[in-house]
Amino acid sequence: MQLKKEHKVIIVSCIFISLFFIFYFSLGKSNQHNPTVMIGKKLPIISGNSLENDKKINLNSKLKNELFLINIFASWCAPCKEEHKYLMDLKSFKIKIVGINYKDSEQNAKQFLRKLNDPYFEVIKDYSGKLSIELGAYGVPETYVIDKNHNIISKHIGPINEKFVKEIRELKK
Amino acid sequence: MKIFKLVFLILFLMIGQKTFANEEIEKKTAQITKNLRCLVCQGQSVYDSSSDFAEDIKLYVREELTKGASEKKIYSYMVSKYGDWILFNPPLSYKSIFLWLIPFLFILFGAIIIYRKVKIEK
Repeated sequence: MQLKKEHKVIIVSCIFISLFFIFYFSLGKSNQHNPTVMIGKKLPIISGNSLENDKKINLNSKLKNELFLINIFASWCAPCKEEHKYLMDLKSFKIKIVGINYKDSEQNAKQFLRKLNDPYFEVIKDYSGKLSIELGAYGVPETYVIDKNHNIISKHIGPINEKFVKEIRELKK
Repeated sequence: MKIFKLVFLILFLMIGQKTFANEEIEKKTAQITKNLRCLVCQGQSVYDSSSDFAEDIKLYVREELTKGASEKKIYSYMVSKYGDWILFNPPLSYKSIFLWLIPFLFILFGAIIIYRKVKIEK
């Protein structure tokens, strides 16, 4: 079957126009990939040394039957300072937050918490970055929401905000 | 003197073996991390990047290889934590089938056009 010349022009033009729109709208999309594979999975074993007294902590056995958050932070991370007031808000609503202190120094982390107040129920040191890999994280700050059955129900990349605080308060009800 | 020579030889062999093992691990670490995408970089592999994320992954891979973990185990651990996106060479799945088929479809399409052109000219 031979296509007429006009038909060929129409088909080729349609292909090009569709490609143009696909590429044009893709330009506006964020190129940051947000891995979601860990969402819905059981919380891996999170254990490490406490920032407070260097004692070994196993988070999985310490927190049971309640919703809590895991927040990866560091004293050198500027967006962590930005989200700190929201973490304090969450603490005031009796939501437990476990801090994972990522690639930091003990002295700086303690100073950071003294200066800005401590929103954490417990802080675990992760100076090798292994705990963060275990959680599927790739930067700071990142916040994970863990339900009472220890399932990861969501994760937030970057500094948390008022909307996030509201969502967590709703979940806690 | 003989004992001294023997001890020296054993020590020499032990050091040599360790260096060789380290070289092997470094080579394998490079090979694996070249196929892992740095998720915080623009199109760089973990091997090429010096970001915190890439350094953590390199350290993890090196330590796992030292413990004797297989390449397959390391890749599947990475995929379980970050998804197929972390691999530069993703496996064939229903999500990536289109990606794998496109080049063949283009070749087929091009071949049909050339075939028709040649046939018409004849």
